[in-house]
Amino acid sequence: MENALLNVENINVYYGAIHAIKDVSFYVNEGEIVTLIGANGAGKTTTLQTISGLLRSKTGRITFDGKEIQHISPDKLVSHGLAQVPEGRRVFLQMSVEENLEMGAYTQPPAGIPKDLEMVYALFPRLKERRRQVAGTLSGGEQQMLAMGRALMSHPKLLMLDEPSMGLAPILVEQIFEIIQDLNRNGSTILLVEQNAQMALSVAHRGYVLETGNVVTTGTGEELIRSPEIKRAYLGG
Amino acid sequence: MDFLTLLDYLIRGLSLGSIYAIIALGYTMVYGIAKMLNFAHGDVIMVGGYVCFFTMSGLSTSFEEGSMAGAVVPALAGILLSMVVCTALGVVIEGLAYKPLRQAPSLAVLITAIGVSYFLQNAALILWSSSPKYFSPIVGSGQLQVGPLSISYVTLVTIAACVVIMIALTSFTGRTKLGKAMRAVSEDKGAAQLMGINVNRTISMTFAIGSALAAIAGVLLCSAYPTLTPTTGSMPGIKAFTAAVFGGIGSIPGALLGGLLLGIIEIFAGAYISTQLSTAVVFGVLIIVLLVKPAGLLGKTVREKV
Repeated sequence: MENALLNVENINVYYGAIHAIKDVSFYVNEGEIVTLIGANGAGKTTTLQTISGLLRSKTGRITFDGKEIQHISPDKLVSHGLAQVPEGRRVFLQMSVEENLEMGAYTQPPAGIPKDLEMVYALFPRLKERRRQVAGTLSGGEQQMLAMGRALMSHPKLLMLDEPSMGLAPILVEQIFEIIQDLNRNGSTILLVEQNAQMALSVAHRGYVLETGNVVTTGTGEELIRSPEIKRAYLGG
Repeated sequence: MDFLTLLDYLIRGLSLGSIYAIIALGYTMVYGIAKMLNFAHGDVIMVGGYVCFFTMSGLSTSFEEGSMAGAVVPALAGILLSMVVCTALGVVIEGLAYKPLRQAPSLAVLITAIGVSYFLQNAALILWSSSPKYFSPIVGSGQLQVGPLSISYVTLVTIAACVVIMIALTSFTGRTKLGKAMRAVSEDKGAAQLMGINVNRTISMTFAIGSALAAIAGVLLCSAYPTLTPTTGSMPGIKAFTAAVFGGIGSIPGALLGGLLLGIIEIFAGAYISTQLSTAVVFGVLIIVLLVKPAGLLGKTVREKV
């Protein structure tokens, strides 16, 4: 896909001798929600970390916004417009909510930060109430909101979310997914990695199914949700 | 044991403790961010002492004896130059010795740090020989008379320096962008990188700050204990490391508290128990504190929420 915002072509990632990602290719168009689903250990997080530069692909090519990015370090990718909400949220537990958000704006000119803080607080009013609290005192759901807000502070062209539903109560999971859809309606492009396939496919425009490091199926969210194979393997029915 | 003597010991303890605290800050900041014990930190102090010594003795001849400029200019130049040299030394040590070991097991880093420490001591031995240099205090050897109590200028300047450094460092880590980035890196390097923070540059900034503090500590230490040899830094270095652990390694207020307590304990133990045993008492206290509170006095164990 030549004009895709993100284009991943035949990447291969190894952990020592273990071949974790095998010839994986996919793309994300501007304005889409694309999801990578698959069981634990299928290679979803590895794929995201390879895109954000925390891991390196042996072969293949990753282009983002028209540039090859597979050799750029993760801290530089942020200013190219790539933001990742890592698995397990990884907010800075000993820093306040507002300081966490400021860290998200690390690459941004300081003049715009107050306005961006207001934008995130409008999206997540809970965070505004707790702006002076250290992040370690927040609940799991609030920490997920903080991690997402923090990523938004860098004005990403592509927001990558790694297991945003992990460890959250069902009602919070719904809330988080509503926010993901809201963000998308407001113009954010989203790459979503999820074990909760049902949830992910119901909000995604397109999806890819990963199994032991390979892309085995792809289709629109609706196609995948109706496919008997996917139903059996991932949707518990 | 009258009140006046007690007060005198307390002030001397605070002064010694201030030096330990300034050194401990370097240990604790580097540990917090790079998760390593930089055992060469004490020897950076020694280098700072020598640089200041040579600058002062080199410059003092070009001034009239007893003149105001002759007292101020060499001392200021000595401190500034030793800060510059130590900062550069710290950054070079980090870049050459520790940075290549970022992914290595911590034991390899620890052994390297000990190696760097011996390297600095022996380099100093070759450059400046083992015969001691006699340091003249940067603020002269005068005393301030407060009623019946006399406090040396060195003591006052040391305590004041510690206060100023603590305030500066607290507002630096709490208010500035770089200071906050340091805290972010010390908590989670991967997440910090995802924010766009250059982790390597942040680590070398931390070494730069720690080493600049080591230079100040070196100058203050030599002003209080004027015999300067290539091993001058090692014992205070180890005691300051103890202070950092005592207060809770990784914690800046912990380094201050640990340093001050250690200095006070050492002076009082020397005065009331035995001078020979004062160091033993200091380490004894450390053992007891760690048995009761393994994370140190202000060390915190943050539990992660799911």
